[in-house]
Amino acid sequence: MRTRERRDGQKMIFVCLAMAIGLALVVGPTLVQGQEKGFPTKPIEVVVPYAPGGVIDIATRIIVEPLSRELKVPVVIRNRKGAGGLIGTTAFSQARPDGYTMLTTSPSAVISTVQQSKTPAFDPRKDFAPVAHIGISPVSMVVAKDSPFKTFDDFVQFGKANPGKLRAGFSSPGGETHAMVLSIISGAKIESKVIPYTSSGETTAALLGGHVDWATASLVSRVPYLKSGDMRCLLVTQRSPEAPGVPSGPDVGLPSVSVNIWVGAFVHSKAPKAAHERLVSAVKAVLDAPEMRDKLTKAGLMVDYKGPQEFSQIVNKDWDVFSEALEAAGMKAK
Amino acid sequence: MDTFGNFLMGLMVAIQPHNLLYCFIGVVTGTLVGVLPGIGPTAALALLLPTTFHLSPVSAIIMISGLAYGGMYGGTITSVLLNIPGESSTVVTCLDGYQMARKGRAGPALGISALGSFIAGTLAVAGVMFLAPTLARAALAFGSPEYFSLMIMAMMIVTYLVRGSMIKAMIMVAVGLILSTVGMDLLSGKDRFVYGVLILKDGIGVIPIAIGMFGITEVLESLGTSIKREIFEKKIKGYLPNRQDWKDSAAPMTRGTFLGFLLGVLPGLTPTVSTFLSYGIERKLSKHPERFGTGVIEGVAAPEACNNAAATAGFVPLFGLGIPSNVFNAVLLGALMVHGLQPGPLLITDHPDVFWGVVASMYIGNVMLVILNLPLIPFWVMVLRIPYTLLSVLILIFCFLGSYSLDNNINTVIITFIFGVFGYLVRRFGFERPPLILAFILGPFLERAFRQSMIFSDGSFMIFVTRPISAFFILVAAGVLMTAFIKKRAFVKKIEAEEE
Repeated sequence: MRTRERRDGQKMIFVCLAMAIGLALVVGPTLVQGQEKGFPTKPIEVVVPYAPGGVIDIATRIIVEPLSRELKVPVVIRNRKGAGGLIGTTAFSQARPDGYTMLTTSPSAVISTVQQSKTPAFDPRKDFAPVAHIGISPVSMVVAKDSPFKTFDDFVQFGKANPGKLRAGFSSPGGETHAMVLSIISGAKIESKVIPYTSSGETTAALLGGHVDWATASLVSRVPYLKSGDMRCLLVTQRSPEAPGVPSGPDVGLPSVSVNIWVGAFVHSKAPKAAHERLVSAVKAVLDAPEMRDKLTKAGLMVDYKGPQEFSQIVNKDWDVFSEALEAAGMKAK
Repeated sequence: MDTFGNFLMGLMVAIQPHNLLYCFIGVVTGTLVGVLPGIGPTAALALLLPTTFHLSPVSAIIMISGLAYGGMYGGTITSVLLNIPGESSTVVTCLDGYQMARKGRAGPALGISALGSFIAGTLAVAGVMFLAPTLARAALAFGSPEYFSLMIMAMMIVTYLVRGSMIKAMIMVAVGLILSTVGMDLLSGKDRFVYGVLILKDGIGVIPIAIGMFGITEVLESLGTSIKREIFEKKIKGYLPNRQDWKDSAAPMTRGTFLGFLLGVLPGLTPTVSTFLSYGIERKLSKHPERFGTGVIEGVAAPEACNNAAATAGFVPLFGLGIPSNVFNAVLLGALMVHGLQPGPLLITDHPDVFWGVVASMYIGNVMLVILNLPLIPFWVMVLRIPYTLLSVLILIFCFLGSYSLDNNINTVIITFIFGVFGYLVRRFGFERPPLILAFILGPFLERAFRQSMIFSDGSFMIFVTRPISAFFILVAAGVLMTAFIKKRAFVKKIEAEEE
């Protein structure tokens, strides 16, 4: 008898549970909808104009999860790689401007590619509304360990005394590393051969193998070589604890050597104001969480939150630097 | 025997049950992704990457590596069964693998690939174990001039790939080279042959061309012939390689392994180039070169072994110097960073458990691939029992889905289709496809290395002969060209005799 009673009791619990779940399923969504009548009511798409696995992609992946919790809708990543990021940014510029499509990008995909394009599909300063400057990865100028240059001054002096002797390596024409090479050459008034490589790995091999004398690459990718003593860092685009004591471009009188690889989020400038504001506050809330700083640092990004207004100024400044560098390299579209 | 002790330590890490499980998940997912259209390997990695955030670094990287081997073998399966190379490194496998399948010998082709990869993997792991740090440094001696001369040498093996007219082959090489110039110019960033089409800015991919010219062309060709034509022989002759197969493949596999390993260590070369070289060399050394391309097992065994050895050797520059030599390793690099590991010269010393754990798991991954895939071969072969009228439709669907999955862009599908038609016309007029694809793959490497060298030397060609390594390659290339012209006559006669 007792077992039977227990069984009945269990049955009752099950029935109650089932009813509760059923109720939750029916009422739950309406409750959530009731809570937030405005934005967002459907999934948000984040366009990443690069293939999976890079700094921008990984950083976005880290942010998306808490952002989805914050906004209470799914936030999905769409990788649209190609043409140095232009395929993704163009797709983003043509998406419906309802605030449900965001973009996370670096300066080269959103500034440099546009300036090289004869028929630009968009102008990031007008068509894209900044949501947040998420973080930066400074660019560094490095030499191999057996190089005679100990400081940036050594390097400049040698370059001035021996025009055309120096060989520089960098990867991706029109990118941030290229901008650094060109602004060092024009700013310090030296002459150097410039050899483009296709990946930062190839640039590393060329520098370590002694095929080039100096190279530029993201600082975070250089840290292991600095630690092992295989390379020395002479200059960075922004001072960083990763390279203690190394001056930044503005420190040595080269203000244009200051284009970082930043990761920033945008929405379309025609997006509803409420949606834009909601995204700004949500991304800020996500980045305020201390564990995010930790996770992003691991992925190679120095978290450096800046709101829309400050971010907009950075976009304008970098627009001018790229404009000058691309002009010097003959890459600017006329 | 410190290295060996380290390897054993790595093995201990890798055979912990949970790591074995992650390896298993990786290999199974990889094989599935490689076989099924719709999700490419990079997309699969992207899907898997966030799930690895919660794992320990070693487990995460073991799982990701498993995905790589699985994906590679999945590409082999579709190459053999359907003539669709899922990955550029299995393009060569189509040449003889698919022909073997048509002769009812898909089983041995798949078997020799799995076992050959396993053997090559074993040897390559040993190589990585004992030579990694030294080799990584030695490979740095290769600058742009050396790569250029190496490419010239590789280009010469085109002469071995050709079955018929040399003139027609040279035309195909030229077309391949021209196609490879489409897209953004490396030096100036300017568009070449883009005509305002955004998708062409990145150039045409190897995979759309290969899928088009092999997979789709095959279907188009079958349309032109009588419906009753039996594409596949119904009788399946064995599931595993027989003794004769082993005898035929032993030496090619060994050579393929060594070649793959040596070239895989160079940071500036993808495994695809090595597989073509390996195929060309086997054809050159073979007693019956005229039968290559009609379904000989050496033509599958050598490049498959080479492919695996090259992929394993790719870990040498990755872990020795932090330089990824292919797309997959680049993603792996990103994964290492997410887990707080700094890829670079210090990785082996700072995190021996990761390095040796991955090396050991590469080995275990290979074993797992063999155990998993040998029993599956009869199942795969059953695919070929589907009537061709139905199978051809499936092949088309797979081709289109496969090319769409590359970058989720409908334009890639259009490009694939165009190359399908192009491949059909090319075949119709008696041109061969492999020289075009080889030239297309080598083209960008060749051009880049050449133009970089010219910047170094201020425009003097002497740079290629004054540097010893480069001079050596140029010399070999010249030698190859000479012998090709001398031997070509006898060879053409032999083909003609056989065709009569």
